[in-house]
Amino acid sequence: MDNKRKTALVVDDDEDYLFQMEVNLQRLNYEVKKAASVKEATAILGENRNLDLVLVDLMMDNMDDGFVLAHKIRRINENIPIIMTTSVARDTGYEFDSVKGENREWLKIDKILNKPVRFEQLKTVLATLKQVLPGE
Amino acid sequence: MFKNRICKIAVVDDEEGIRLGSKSILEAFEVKVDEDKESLNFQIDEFSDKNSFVNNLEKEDDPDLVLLDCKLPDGNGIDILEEYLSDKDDIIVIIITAYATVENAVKTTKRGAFDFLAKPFTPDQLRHSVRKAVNHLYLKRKAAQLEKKQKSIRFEFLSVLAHELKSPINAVEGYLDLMENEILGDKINKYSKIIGNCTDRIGGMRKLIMDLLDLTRIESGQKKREVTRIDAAAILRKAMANFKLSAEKNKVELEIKAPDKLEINGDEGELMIIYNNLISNAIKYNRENGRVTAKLSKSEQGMEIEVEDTGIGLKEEDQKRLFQEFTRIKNEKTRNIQGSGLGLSIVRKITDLYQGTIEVNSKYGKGTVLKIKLNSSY
Repeated sequence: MDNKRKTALVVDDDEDYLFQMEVNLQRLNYEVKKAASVKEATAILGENRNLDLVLVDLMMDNMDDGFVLAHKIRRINENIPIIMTTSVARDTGYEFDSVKGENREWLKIDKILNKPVRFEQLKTVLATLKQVLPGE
Repeated sequence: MFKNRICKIAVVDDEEGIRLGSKSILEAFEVKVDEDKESLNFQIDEFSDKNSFVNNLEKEDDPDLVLLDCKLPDGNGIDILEEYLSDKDDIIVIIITAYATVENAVKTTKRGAFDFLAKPFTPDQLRHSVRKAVNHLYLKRKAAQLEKKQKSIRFEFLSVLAHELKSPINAVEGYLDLMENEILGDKINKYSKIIGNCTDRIGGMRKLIMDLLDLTRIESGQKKREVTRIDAAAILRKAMANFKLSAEKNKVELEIKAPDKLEINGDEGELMIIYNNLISNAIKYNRENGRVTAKLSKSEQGMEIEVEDTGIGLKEEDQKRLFQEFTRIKNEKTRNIQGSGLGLSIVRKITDLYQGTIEVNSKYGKGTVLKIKLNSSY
């Protein structure tokens, strides 16, 4: 079992949300990097090409920043699991539980979560994305 | 509104004379709509009985106008009106009949006919009736178009509003989840930062709701205006005093440059909203150890208020967006500043009430001056 502490990047323009996710992910044994914009996230990704997980907000400065960033991440590393979080699922129609096959290929994301993301929910989702589950 | 500026007319009458006469009159006819800005021509399709008209109605594009004879060999104009045209709001119908009785007129109008033309009619009567009908249809379509546009603007506004309201709810819910999981242990005092953050977000949400109410009250004219003789200088001092604490917290110095007294005709509440928004922005978007200067002076028309800060300033492209609803200029420097994004929309709406003007003068990284002139002699 790989016991190395894993690293997650959280991208969101809401400072409170960044703080909450940091606390939650630290409890799940992740080292957490935070970015408040696509620009900041891109800079962090440039220096850390082997992140173990990225959580990215859909709507930041632009409506579709999250998708754009997801594509960028995949170009850097095809295997980083990406979870997209959003509070506008119902308004935008981006409402699906799991992202599979074609959708994954197209959207470049592994999972969409509705905000607010609860600790238990995050834990469950990370467990289903087996490859990102940190060593226990 | 009319495809290729052509109004399609269906003439439904078993008398060939009526059909051909109407066709030749109307094909040479032109109607001006939209305050004479647009002219319409006519394309005439003839139908000699109910069947051919109804079949065509099912196959082809709907006509804009129908000249409908009451008495057809295979049916009755009133039945056609009721069965086939009553649910088509976008078609306007003129009934033609030889039996020009009041009873008939009432009957057909009740079923949705716009006008009533008695046989035999003169070319002028026909033209007059068609002109009236087309203008009516034009206005109706224009109103529908406008309503659709307003609905879509409203939807856009509500979508953004919903997003703005959901963010603080999500933040507070997220914090409650952390507390429920006793992330910082079981002592409540460990959570004071978290509780403080929740309070801030709820405060921001309350401000958004208040601003929204102000905005809609002003927009709808529901807000009662109390225009009296008021002292703009005294109100400014009061407003600045209210911001003393927040200025101290942000390490910003406040300065007033105003005469002892400056009387104008105005509404104290409205003036207070303007001051509050300008001062609060100047404090929020300032730098540490910065300064906010509020200058008030008399002008020819009324008064001039200028609020200057030494803050982060605006990029040129952002200045244009400043007065749009929910515009919050997002960048590294403003990300952690709370705001409803409605403040300056409200200020602009109030300024409009005074036939006033707003000037923005800003240098990115240096600071912003907002100058508002109010006309108080109206």
